Amino acid sequence: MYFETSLGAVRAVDGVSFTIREGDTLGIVGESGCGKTVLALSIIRLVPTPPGKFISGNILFDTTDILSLPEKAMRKIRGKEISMIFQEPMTSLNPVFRVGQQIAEVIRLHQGSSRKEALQQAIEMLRVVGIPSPEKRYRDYPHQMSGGMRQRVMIAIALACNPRLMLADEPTTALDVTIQAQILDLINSLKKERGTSVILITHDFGVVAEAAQFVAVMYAGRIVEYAAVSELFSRPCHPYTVGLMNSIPQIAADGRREEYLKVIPGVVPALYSLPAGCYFHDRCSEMMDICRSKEPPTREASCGHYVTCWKYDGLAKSRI
Amino acid sequence: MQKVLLEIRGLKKYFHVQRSFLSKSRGPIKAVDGVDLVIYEKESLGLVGESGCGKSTLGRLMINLEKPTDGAVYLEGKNISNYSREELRAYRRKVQLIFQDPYASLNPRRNIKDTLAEPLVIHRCADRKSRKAIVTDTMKSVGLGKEHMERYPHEFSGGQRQRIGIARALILNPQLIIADEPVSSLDVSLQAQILNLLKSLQKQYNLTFLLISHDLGVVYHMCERIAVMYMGKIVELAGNADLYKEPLHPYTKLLFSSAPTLDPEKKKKRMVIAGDIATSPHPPMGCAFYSRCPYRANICDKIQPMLKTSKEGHMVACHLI
Repeated sequence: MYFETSLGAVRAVDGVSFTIREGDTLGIVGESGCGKTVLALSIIRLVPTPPGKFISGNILFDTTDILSLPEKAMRKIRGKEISMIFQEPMTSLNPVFRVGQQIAEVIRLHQGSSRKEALQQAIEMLRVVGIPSPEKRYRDYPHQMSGGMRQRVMIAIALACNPRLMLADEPTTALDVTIQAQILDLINSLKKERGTSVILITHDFGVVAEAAQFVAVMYAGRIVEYAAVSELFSRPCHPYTVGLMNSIPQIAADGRREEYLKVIPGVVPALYSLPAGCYFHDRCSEMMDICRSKEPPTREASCGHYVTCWKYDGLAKSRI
Repeated sequence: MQKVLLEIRGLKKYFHVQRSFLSKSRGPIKAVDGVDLVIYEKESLGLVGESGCGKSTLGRLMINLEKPTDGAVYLEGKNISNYSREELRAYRRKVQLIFQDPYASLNPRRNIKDTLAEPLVIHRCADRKSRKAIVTDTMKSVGLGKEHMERYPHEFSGGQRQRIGIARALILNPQLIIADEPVSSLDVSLQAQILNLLKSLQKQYNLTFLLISHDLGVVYHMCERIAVMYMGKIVELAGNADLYKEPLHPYTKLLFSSAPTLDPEKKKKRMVIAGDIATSPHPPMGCAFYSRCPYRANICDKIQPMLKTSKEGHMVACHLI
């Protein structure tokens, strides 16, 4: 996915490949501006074209190529088969409709239920996501609810038609930690109950560790490392992943703390002026000469653990 | 015993909500409700709590941006609300604030040199020539170079803007810096850079820090003592290792258990409590955490728990301890 801008083509998502199995959660981690959200919007085809432009590649849902579907067919999938939870529940809910109506709308659209049936189902959905006394609260407007409740409503809308894939874009970023814990537990338990696959986009490694089975680390539009969650946290390979993990102030089990955090120097490069070679080389602590000139290859560091870095060039060739 | 720099006694701040023509009057919102706190010289004290618990209001009260409803703030034993204009000006030289959103708190129409020189002008600190030298020095100490001097805020990244915010707070050589969520709008890699910067500046300039944050990890990393705030009150206050090893208040336990860890193997049994601050009505007489507390007893909704010392250096406000 590239964007045409006045500053030249912006490679927001550049050669990303991954698969997600039924019932799994894939976490996509990266800092702001690394292309995570554009990736999700591409999957659900919500990127306006132009300025956006799919250069190459395809997104296969079952065997259907989403990118080649006409918009009319896409509308049948969007919200029903694939749904999305947005980051900011206040700005993505319509402030002038009652929350019950907003959930019912999805149900009526995709299942053709009557107004009354849809509303009943909407109330049921509110109960499923843990809103107390849903038969009263469905008449609330979004502003009458707290942040955590609004996010629950978003989840209710996303799950209303039993989608097979749910994209959650920073679902807990705007929430307090105690509410975040509630929402993550909710997503996890609903996922298990219904067998929905989830793509969880976040900048927070902690959230990924709690909720995902697989993790992809993104940097400047590319996936630099991909592994199962326990593998990634016990043996992070890419210098960027290692750097990010070291940057997080942690509460150590033995109560010790480091005087200073280990940091990654510099900032994420602008996507319209990416450096040659590996995009990470000028911030990398283990930079070699080759990193400056040539793009790194993807190698399998261990079974199912892929890393895109010259450090691992000696390993056998592979594809994700 | 360390020297006390700033002391807060019985500080309260109530906001009166205007009665709208549809709803009933809600009564005052008790943003800060009877806080006692001591900040010692050269320490860094952390203040944690969720949004809406009153931590920012407490910070604003401390630098006299808000007038307290009751109680007072004492700097080196003197009540700041009795200060004359001149004394207040001197006070603001000693106590500076770093704001959360570095973009909103910088004037977009001023270049950095002028923004940083302004406090020096207001406090008549230096003549034109030495002002420039002070600005250059301060910029250097936060990692900004000469080439940045003529630029405007929109030309900087988030991390750099926060560095400017820090430089502005530092430039008057304050004793106490109150940092209100200084890193919460930054990415983790930048967050680490700014935290390291704050730590090294503290050593270099012998600063006292009050760090306000919702992130336990950040506060734990930066501060020796931590105060946990819930609905306008401090519910627990302890050294950072004590607080982690032995959190006493149920709310502190909830916070620690909600914070995600980086170890997927060790997915602990999380304590999840229904409800949130905004929707939990609490008994007017009793404990503010009553309606969410899993351990509540009869006494809790009748008598408000006071902050008591449970052991050396560890205070908690809970009847059950």
